[in-house]
Amino acid sequence: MAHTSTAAATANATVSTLRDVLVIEDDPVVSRLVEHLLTRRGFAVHVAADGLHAQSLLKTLPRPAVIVMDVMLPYVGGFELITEIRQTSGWERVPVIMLTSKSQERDVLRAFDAGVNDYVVKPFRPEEFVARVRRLADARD
Amino acid sequence: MSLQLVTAAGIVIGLLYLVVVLQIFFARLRNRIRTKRQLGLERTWLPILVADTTAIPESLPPLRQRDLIPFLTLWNQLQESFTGEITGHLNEVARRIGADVQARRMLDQRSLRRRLLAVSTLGHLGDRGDRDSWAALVRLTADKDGLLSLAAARALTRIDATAAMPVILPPLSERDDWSRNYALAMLTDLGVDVVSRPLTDAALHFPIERAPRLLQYFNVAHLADAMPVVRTLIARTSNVECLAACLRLFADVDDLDTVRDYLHHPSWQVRVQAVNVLARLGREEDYAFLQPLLCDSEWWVRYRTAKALCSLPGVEMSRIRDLSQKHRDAFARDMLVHVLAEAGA
Amino acid sequence: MNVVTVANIFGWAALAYLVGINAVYLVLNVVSFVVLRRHKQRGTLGPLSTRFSSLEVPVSLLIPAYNEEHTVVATVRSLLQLNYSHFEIVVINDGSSDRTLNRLKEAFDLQVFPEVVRRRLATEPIRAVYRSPIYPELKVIDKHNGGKADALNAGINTAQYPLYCALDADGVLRPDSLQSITRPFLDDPLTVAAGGIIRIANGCDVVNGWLVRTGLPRRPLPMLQVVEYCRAFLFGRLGWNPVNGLLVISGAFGVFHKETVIEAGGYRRNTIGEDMELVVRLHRFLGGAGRPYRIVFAPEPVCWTEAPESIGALRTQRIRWQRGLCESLWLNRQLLFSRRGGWAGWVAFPFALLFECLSPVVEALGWVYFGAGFLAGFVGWGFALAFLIVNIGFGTLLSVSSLLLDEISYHTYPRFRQILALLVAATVENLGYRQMTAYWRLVGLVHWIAGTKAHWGDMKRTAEWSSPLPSPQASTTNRT
Repeated sequence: MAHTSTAAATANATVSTLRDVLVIEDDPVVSRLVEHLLTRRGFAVHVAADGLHAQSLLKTLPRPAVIVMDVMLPYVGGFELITEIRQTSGWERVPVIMLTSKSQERDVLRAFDAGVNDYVVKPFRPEEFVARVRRLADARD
Repeated sequence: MSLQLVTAAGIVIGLLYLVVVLQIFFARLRNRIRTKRQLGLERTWLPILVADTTAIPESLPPLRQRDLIPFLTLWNQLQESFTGEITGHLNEVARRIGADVQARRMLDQRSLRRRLLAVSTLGHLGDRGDRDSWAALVRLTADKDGLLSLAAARALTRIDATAAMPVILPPLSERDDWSRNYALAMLTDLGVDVVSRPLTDAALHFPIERAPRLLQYFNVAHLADAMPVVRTLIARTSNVECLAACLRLFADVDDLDTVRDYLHHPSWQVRVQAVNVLARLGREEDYAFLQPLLCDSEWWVRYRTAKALCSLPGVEMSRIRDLSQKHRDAFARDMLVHVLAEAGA
Repeated sequence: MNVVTVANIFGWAALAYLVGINAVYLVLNVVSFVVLRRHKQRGTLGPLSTRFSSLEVPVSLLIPAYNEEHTVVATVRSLLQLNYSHFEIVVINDGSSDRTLNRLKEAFDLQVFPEVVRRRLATEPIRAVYRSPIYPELKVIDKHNGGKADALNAGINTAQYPLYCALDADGVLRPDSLQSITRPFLDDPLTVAAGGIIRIANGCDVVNGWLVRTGLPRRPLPMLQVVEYCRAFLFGRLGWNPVNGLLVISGAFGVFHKETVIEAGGYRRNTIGEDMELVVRLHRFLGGAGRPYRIVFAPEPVCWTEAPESIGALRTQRIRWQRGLCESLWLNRQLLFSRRGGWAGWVAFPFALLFECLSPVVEALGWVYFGAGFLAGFVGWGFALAFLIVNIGFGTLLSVSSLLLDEISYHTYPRFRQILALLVAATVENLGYRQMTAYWRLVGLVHWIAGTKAHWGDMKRTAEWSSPLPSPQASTTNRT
């Protein structure tokens, strides 16, 4: 589990290169917030509001630095989607952060088994969330 | 029938038709304007509300009256999405632009949307010194609208958890229209330490017919508080709903004797709960107690009994399989076969 | 009194009747608008209530399938993806003569399961119960053919959970449909049945059994039905919510409290409109027993179905519906003005009888009277024009106002071209389409009357069905 502090997050607050993040989230409020948080930190954010849309982005989008996704998604569920992501050539090792709500905590173990790299429980601390995304994005570079 | 009158009626209907058609286009236009305004509002306020630092800029943009509802909606959404120090920052911004004053004013307005927003906003602001709002929220917990009263209860728990408990327990035990989900979310957020004592005391001292509704929240109580109350209640009542609710909570092998007494209760809802407890806590000797229930008249009792038998410690699957072939009752045999198939054995 | 006076009286009565029916629908529209606005406002603090989704009431989805080899697998696949924490899917193959069962077996690797089915409602014998090792929440019942009602009863016997959802094998849902339609049960524990909005899927994009984009049909006939659904089946029904007077829950998508339905006797076999019959019977049964209950219409879009594209299919459907309506009312006629009937017995039932059952008769006679009378000269210009204005003008006003309601509350069809198309359809609907369906309904009414007479003996024989009050000992003496 990551213990990245907010200090580390503010230490390198400016990111020079634009990196892509794919956000798969059906709640428009959450996806807008995540987009806002990440855009401000220099990420280029792509949003898919449901599983089907996400599937089509897997084919068209360049490999992102990080994927942020919900567990419960319309049309195609989160777990099914992870399996597909892991089978998409070039995307096998893209770090995935799962955003879950409190009631889905029992899904966390299943998420790690499915190949999720980290997870954040809603409601979340925005700074901590951004720090986690950046840690995973940096680890890949 | 006079032709003029009919023509006049026709013209009126024709005009009404035009008005409605124009309304449709107008509604569409308004929708578009509203969406645009919402985007503008977010562009202005998101960077301030979700800022890098907790420092608030010296001059904040003014909050126009027409933006009040969208702003408060956004602000409450942020409060629900985030936790940690940012919530304090959100409260600071709200106070600086006078949203707290507006919320207080909205408490007694007619629109349900405004009242819900006001209640929720005051809850997040959590101002303990604001006695007037506290009193108003307490009054709202008795409102005839279930959602509004529950939202008021929720706000009170956010302002002062300990002081809120005695206010919310009576309606929690009485109101049918309080959503269980919402209420459970509220109690869980309060935490076991705050909820445990007041909740279990209330279940014990309120009239017994209200106890089942409180018992369903007992997993937000310490076992040490809950179990003595459960034991007292089960000894005191013959109410089926209450008995079933009590049995569901047993978690200690010391209570097994009590539980076994209910295996032959006349109500199947009680029998099935007793069987479920034995499935969780039972020992090898419960095999003998459970076996007769395989012939129960109620499908659920037979089903749960068969499952319980499979889960008893020290009972081999082969023994169940054997029983499923040799039992003299066809209903029992069928159920055992069914449960064995479910278990994949 | 001479013939002309009688005819005149009839003319006035017909006019008054038509004003009445349109006015009532207008009132229903306004009431449903108020209901909807309140419903929307209640969503203001939305996210909180979904956070603890694990507390959703478990639901058994029952899908009766008779010769559905083309749709059933896609439907089941999409249902397996529903955003709902606790549900099972029970497909009932009602003795299909096509490959329905084989398709399911192949797709889900079904295995025969020694299921112990509770025999709480009498049904045709079950051949086998199948389960899927891949999807433990899926069950398939293979039984002898007995009709939709019989299949649903078998499904109820097999269902594990306290609520069940009856669903057509070709219904298209949204991921949150089940959440929307079970919410009334969470909000009010007295709820025993909830229906959802049915919309027309023609012209929408459906991918893997999911509706991913709403659109309008290109063909005129389904297009007219879009407007008709809006007016009659959406706002016309939602308006009954505040007074607990809803008499119809479409068989395509409705959720019921299982034990209450079993108490009321389950679905009635050999009926044409088993879905409506059950709802009217629930009113009679629960109201008659003096039990508090709620039957509601969940004001959220939940299910899309394919509307008939040909005149012939539409005609058959409407004749069936009308017969089903008459039959449901007739079988539960004790509800009418019964002492404890409430709004359902004192307002909704008489409304259905007077305006939905009999309106085709009045409308047809009206056209004959005013048409013939005008030509023969005993109906004057003013009177004839008045009839046209009420019948067509008022009707069109009603149709466009339901479009307005739809625009304000749902904004279903977001494109500008769509709204224009709908406006045209709303106007055209009243110039021929409505009269055409009224004629079919008249045919349905006649069929029903003829059919009832022919089967009078049968009616008597099965009369015990219609008083479904089981003895309280039933559950203790008979094993379920």
